[in-house]
Amino acid sequence: MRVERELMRGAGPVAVLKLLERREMYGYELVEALARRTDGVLAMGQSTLYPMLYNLEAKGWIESSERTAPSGRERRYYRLTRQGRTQLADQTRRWQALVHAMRTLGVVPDLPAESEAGS
Amino acid sequence: MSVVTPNSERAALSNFHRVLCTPVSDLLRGRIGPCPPAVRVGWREIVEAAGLPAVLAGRVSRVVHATRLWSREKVQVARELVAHFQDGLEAGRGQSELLDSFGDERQVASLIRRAKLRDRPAIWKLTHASACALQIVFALVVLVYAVQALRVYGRSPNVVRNFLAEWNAAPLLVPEAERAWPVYQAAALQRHADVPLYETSDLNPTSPRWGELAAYVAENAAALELYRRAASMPKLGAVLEAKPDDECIRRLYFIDPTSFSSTPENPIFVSVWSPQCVPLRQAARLLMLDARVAAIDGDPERCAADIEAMIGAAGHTLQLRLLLSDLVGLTIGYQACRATKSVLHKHPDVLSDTQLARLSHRLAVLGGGAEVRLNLASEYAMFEDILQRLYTDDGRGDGQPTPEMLSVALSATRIQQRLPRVPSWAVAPAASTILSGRRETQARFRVLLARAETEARTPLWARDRSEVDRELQELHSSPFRRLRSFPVSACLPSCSDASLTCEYFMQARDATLVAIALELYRRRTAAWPAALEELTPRFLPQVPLDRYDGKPIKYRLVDGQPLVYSVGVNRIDDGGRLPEARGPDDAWAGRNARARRWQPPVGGYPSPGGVPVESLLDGDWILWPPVEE
Repeated sequence: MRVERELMRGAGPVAVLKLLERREMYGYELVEALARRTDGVLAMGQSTLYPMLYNLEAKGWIESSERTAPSGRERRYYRLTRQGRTQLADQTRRWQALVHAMRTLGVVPDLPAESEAGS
Repeated sequence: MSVVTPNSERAALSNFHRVLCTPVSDLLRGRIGPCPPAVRVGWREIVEAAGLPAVLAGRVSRVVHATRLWSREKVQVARELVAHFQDGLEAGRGQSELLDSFGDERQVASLIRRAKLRDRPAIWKLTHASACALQIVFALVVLVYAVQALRVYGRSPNVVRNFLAEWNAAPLLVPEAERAWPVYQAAALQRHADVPLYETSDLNPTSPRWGELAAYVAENAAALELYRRAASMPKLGAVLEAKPDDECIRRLYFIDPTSFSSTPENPIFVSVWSPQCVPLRQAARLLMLDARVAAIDGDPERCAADIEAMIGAAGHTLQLRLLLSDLVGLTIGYQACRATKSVLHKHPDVLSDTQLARLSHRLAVLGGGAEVRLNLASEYAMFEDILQRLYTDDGRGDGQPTPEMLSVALSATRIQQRLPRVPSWAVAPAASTILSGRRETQARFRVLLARAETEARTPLWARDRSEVDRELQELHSSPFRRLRSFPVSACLPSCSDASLTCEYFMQARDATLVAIALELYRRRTAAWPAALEELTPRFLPQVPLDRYDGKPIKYRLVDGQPLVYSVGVNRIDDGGRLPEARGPDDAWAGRNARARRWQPPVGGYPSPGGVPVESLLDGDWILWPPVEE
């Protein structure tokens, strides 16, 4: 299941920032990681990813550099900036509050209950 | 950020491309910010050198092209998209799968462009925002101007009054049998040729031209008789007519009469023509010549009748009630004074006491009595007529200038000539915002003309430089002011100049009355009076005033002969001395005319008791004995 565009507009940047939290990544790698780690829920094509990356870069939350990969090809790598880390922390708190609110409404089930139901 | 350009891409660059992609070319194209040399590889070369399948390379090319970004930005996007597809192919993804996940080309290009623009330098953003704001402002200005143009070109006047018909109503009430004008016309038809030019010295039986002049008046005896009869009638009974000569109006009033809303039934009042002025002046010239010839012939009846007819013709001309006809009428009156003084001086015994007394009485009341004033009613009427033809009418006394008015104003103020490449229809909406409205224009004209009228009523001894003339000069000081005050500045008559005709006439008339009184006194006492007060009240009701100082007119006996004079323009009594001659050819007439000519000092006259104005012309204006002009 893929999320709708409006939802992706809010979730996508946080997801990308989160992926870049631990290490720098290039575009295709981000697409693959998002699709794999979210079971395709946050899968996005180039039409979404690259404009998003450019926007984040314009805001100063990420920065990029071109480097030659071991394969000999040139790639642009993105990494989180200090401002990006602050934003990620802030966005994480907001999402957590949202999830908590959804959980209290029953939209998002409690994790233990989900675990039991799943088992 | 470390940047590396693959060798394969370097090899793909043409020398032409390298020349095009230099730092200077970047700057010339408005690309602001650092641009490392390696980035100056064209994005097309990058796509070609990547070795992508054609369908994927085409997709990248179309998207990059559609972004419409700067070259270095396109290069960056092209590298990224190419790398993305290459990574996908290496990962074993099929071409169609990669294309499906790519998304809509136009949307991608649009989103990429938007994101990249956000990343541009602040100075570019400022410039871009300023340009956008300017475009918006320009569009708004164009819109407002278009709306204004529609409003302007939708305007039309509402011509409701026929000023010519109103003006002619009074003379048309005069019964036809009592109208003098038809008799003048008949006299003009009887007249043989124009009055020949002559000198005073020619009016002498020993002169070579005497025969010619005597023959001329004899040939015109019938015309002269008709002129005398016409002049004896109380009412002129002549109507004004629409003048067909547009060029004359254009030159006189600086306006284009063809722009006016005018019909044969209701012609524009400023174009009216008094066809009577020229024939009446011709009549006066013929009568003057005949009066002088009659004096030589010893024919007092004819001489007196001719001078009286001149006075009658002057009065008839004044009945036309136009500013121009007033000036003509007073000029004829001035000529009548000249004729009287000439006859008195050369042939003092020709006219009888009764004839002199009668002439004196006729002259005294010409033009309305002691103080002769210009009639400016026609100027008010002409301006009202212009307003109704060139402004709209909102029914409450106000209105806006019509397109015709704007065209006339732009042409008359020479603004259009300064903008030769801009058509008047394009300038007119802007001009309409500058030009005053109907009510304001009317009020300004009335105020200025009333002030000019007041100035014109001020006698020369109390007069200084005209404030109204100064204001008019200021109105002409810039194209903007000329346009704003149009048509006031175009139509306001120069009353200060016109009123001089009144002043000169009054002084000449008063001097003539004094000369007649002196002659009557001489006949009674065989001597000249020691002072003019001796003439009153038997021969003169009171001693007239000197128009230049407001005191009694000056009188002296020089070598036993009377001398009557005015102090002249410098307001200083020089004892009846003419201004100094400027050379051997500077005749008495020219010197006397200079002393008469109103020409106030640049800084104005000194206050009473102040230092005399030395810069002004020295000398007096001689009134008697006559100085031939």
